[in-house]
Amino acid sequence: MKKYHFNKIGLAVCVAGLFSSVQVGAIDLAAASGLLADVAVISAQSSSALAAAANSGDVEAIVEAQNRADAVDSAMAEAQEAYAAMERAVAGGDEDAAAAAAEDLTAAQQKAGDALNGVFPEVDSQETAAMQAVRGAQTIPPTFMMYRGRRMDFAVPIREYLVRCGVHHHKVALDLVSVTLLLSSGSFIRFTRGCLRFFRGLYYE
Amino acid sequence: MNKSSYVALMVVAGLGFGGTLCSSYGVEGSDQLIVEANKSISTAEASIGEARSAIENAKQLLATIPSDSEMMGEVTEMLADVKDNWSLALEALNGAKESASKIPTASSSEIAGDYKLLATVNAGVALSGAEVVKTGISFIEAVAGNKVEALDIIRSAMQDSLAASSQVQFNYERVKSLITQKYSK
Repeated sequence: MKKYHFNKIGLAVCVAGLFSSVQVGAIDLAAASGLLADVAVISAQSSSALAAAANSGDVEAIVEAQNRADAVDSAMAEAQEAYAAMERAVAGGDEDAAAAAAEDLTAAQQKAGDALNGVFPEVDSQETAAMQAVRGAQTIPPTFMMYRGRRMDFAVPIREYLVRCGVHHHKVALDLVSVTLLLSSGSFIRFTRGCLRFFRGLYYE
Repeated sequence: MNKSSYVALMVVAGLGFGGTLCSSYGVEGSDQLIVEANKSISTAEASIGEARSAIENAKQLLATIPSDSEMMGEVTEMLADVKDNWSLALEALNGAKESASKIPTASSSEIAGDYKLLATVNAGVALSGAEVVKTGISFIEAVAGNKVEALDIIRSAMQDSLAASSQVQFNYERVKSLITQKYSK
C-alpha cells in the first residue's frame, strides 16, 4: 500500500515536470493582438498599393487595387470583431468561445493576406455548397427563388430560427418551410391576383 | 531503496524529463522563432528601403511645385505625417532587431516566444510606418505631376493608411502591456 502511495507521488512529480516544460497558453491575448496588428499592417500595404495605382493612371490597376483594399478592409473588420469576441470570452472564462474566436481571427488574417495578393474567396460557390450540405443533412427540398437576379434563400435561416426556438422535429420544420415557400412563390401570388381580378370582375358586373 | 531516496529519484526524474524537453526546444524551437522574427524584419527593411527611395524622389518633386500652389497646405500636412511615420518606422525597426537579438539567450521557451512576438509586431509598426510614408509621397507625386484625378483616391488611401498604422501601434502597445502583466504577477 505504501509502495503504491509513493508511485503516485512519483507519477505526479513526473507529470508536473513534463507540464513545466510544455507551457501551452490556450488563450493568448498577446498573440491575438499580434495577429490583429498583422491584419492592420496588411491594410496599410493595400492603401499604399492603391495610392501607387492611382498615380499610375491605369484604370484597371486602380479598380483591382480598390477591390483588394476593400476586401482587406472587410477582413480587418472581421478580425476586429473576432478579437472583441475573444476578449469577451476570456473575461467570461469561456475557453471554447475564446478558441473559436482565435480561429476566426486567424481566418481573417489569412483572408486579408489573400486579398492583398488578389486572391478573393469564391463566396457564391462556398455558400451554395454549405447550403447544399445543410439541405442534404435535413432533407429539405430546394427552397430558393430568384428575385431581381438575386438568389433569395430562406430555408436555412428559417430552419435555424426554428431550431433556436426549440423546434427540432424536421417534419414540423419542413411543413412550416413549405407554407412559407407557398406564400412567397410566384404561382401563389399569381393565383391570389387571379382571384382578386375574378371577384373584382364579379363586383363590377 | 528507502522512502526518501525513492521520492528524491522521482523528483530528479520528473524535472530531468522536463528539462530534456526544454533543452530540445531551445535548439530547434528557438531557431524557428529567430527565422520567423527575421522574416518580419526583412519585410519591414525592404519596405523602409522603398520608402527611403520615395523620400529622395520627393525632394526633387517638391522643387517643381510652385510655392503659391493652392495644394501647398495639403502637401505640408502630408509631409508632417510622412516625417512622423518615417521616424516611427526607423525606431520600430531598431526595436524589432533588439527584441529578435534576445531570442537565442532567453531563459525559457515562453520568454523566447514573447521576444519573437515583440519583434514581429514591432517590425509590423515599422512596415506600416513605411507604407504611410510611401502613400504620402504618392500624394506629392500626384500634385507635382498635376494628376488631379488621382488626388481623391490618394487622400482616402492616406486616411486609411494612417488609421491602419495607428491600429498597429495600438496593438503593439497592447502586446507589450499584456507581456509585462504576465511577468509582473
